[in-house]
Amino acid sequence: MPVLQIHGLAKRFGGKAAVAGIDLEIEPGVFYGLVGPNGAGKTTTIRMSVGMLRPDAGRVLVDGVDLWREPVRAKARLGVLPDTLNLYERLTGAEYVDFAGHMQRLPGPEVARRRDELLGVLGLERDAGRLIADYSQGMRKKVALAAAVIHSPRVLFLDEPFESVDPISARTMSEVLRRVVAGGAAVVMTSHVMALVERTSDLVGVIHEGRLVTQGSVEGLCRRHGVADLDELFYRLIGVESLAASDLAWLAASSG
Amino acid sequence: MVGRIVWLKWRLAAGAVARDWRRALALVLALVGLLPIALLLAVATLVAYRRLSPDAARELLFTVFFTVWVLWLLLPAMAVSLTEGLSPARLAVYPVAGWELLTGLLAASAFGLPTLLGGLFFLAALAGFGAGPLVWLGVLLGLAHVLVGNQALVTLASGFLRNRRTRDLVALLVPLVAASLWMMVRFAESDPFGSAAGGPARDAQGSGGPLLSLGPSRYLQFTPPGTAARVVERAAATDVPGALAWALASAAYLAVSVALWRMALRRAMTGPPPSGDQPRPGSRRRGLLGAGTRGAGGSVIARGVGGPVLALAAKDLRYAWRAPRLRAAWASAVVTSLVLVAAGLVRGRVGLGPRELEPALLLPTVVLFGTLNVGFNAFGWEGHPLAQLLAAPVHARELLLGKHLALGAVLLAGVAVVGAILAAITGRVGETLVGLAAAPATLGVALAVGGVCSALLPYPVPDDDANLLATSEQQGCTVALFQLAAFTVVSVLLVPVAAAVAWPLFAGRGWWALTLPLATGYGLAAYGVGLVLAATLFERRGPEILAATRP
Repeated sequence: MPVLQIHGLAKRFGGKAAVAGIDLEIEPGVFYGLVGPNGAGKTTTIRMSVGMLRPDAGRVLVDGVDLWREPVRAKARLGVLPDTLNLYERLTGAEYVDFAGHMQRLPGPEVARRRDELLGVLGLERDAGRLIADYSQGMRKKVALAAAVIHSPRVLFLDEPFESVDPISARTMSEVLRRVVAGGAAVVMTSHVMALVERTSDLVGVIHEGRLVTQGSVEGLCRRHGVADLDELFYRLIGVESLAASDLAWLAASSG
Repeated sequence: MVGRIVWLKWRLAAGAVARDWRRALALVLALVGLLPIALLLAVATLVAYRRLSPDAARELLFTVFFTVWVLWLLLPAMAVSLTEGLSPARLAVYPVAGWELLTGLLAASAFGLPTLLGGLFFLAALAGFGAGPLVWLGVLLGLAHVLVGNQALVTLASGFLRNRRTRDLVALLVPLVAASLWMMVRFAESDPFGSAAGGPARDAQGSGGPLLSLGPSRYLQFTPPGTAARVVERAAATDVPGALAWALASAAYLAVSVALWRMALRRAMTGPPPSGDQPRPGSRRRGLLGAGTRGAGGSVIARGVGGPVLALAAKDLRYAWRAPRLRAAWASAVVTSLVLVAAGLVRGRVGLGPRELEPALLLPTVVLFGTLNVGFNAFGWEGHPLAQLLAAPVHARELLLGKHLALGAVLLAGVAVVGAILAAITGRVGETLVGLAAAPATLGVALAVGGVCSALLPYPVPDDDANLLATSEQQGCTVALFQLAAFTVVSVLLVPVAAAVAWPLFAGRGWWALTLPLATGYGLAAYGVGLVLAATLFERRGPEILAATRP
């Protein structure tokens, strides 16, 4: 049974359709990469799928539980790492992960055990006592990831998780995410870095103008569209305009 | 290049005003509100320079020069809201010579509201002491000290000023400066020259008010603005050698300031970014309310927390101490309470109900004022992280309970302190205890209505540490009217509590043993009803509340 089912999800802002009826089903243990240009509807889809934005139409079932009918039950199965991190900046890293664990109703000793382990694995042990306001962007992403997975969610949503993260931290975060997937959870990740999506995702969906234009495994999609990689597939599906040879010709000369 | 820097500063300032109508309005209000006041004060000093005895005029001159200098140094530093104009580091990529940068920044700072307001006082000194060449020199030196001093301070401390912890300190500085200004006004009202008891004539005979007997010029003459004031004073006394000597000293101060500024400018343009953006390797900090480096230790609060309600209450308690805006909100509630108490001290009574009942009625009033700001917009104060709460598997009543628990704890602790002060001042311990006993009932009613308001009409609270009084665009007339209506509802709902406090005074004080528990029960019941209503509203409108409270 799919751990995440999205049926006919739609949202309009004013006259513009931000999400125009998305259907998606993700099985347990799948890493799903959602790609698309800016303004395609990725973040809106995620926000509606975790209860932060009320959809105009559609349903979201998390592990069979309707998110908008039984929000508390459904959210207990969800983990979220939003694009705008929305962290409590005036808590320390340790306090923040603690807080997240308690909000997920985990018992106190278990929260402490998981918090210490997560912060250790993510390399935040030394900085656990510092306020998040003093963290770098990469550290914020890591502490947000720790808070998002502390309750072992069945579905984990990540919006641009690797943005501003150094390669070493990205590798550690990827390992944590692989562990989440290996544990039978589904991970839905948005990113603009195609190589990263290609490397991490079992399935990829391309979203454009609020619609899911295609989805499948990277190999399958590349084969179907006759392209070499996800980058090329993306340009093919979305369409890009190249500069003409005469554009910005003056850049060729040095200002010396 | 100098002209380009002045232009840049102007464009940045004009762009900020043009982009944000609130800033434009603030500028207009500052001009309309501050300019007449500054003009009035400057004219008052001018009249004083001319009418007071030379000794008194001298003391006033030193005080004015020094005050303008201190305010000029402090106020722009307090308003260092990370504007590009204050960041010379951004100019580091361009081929700008050091002297061009110094002159450009100085010239840019010379055309602004502070210069306009402060300049009036220098003009008054010029007119008050006769505009001879040496007086001119002294006044110009005074002006140069404030301009260079301010630039040097802001540049020297630019990293420090942008540091989050400094901004936290600045949060405390704002009420401090405001309190100092208030004290200065009180001092001025207290007839500092003793003019009521004889006026200038009496000063001329060697007596006078507190300012004259304090003789600040003796100490202030060694400060940069003091040297400039001394030049003016000596020039007015036709002591040319003295004026020149002091002018030399003043110029030496100025040279040191310029050298310091130049050094700071070099550092600012090539140094690392201000802390807060980058982690400091190896730096550790223990949370104020617990959570050490591994977080497992920590305080009683941190250790004992379990479940969403307590976790949220603990988070809010930490925020009550650590978030500058919340601290400012609490500080204003405490200051309001203390002003009420202080008013009682000064006038012999507060003016709140019958005299015997003042302590008993004052304490619930403090609770009410304390709840208004934070309790009536509970979700707005969460800011961006409200999304986290919405994504958590938590019932709305748990969210509200957690938040109210923290708010109640802070308020009741504060009321206990105010109560102790009040009892010490008035000696009415019994009535104070009655007031303390009525506080929980008041809190229950206020939080009930506050919770419903928070869910019905939430509005964003701008997260601007540089401007703790910043308001959001949504915080307009509708919110004000709504809160007025809510305040009326609270007042009506509090009538039984007030009756429970007041009635035994006439019927016999023994009745308090019955009326106060009844009032507490009533407060609890009101809170229960309010909580259910607010939770239902939040569960229905969660995403809408999130959207409405995004700063």
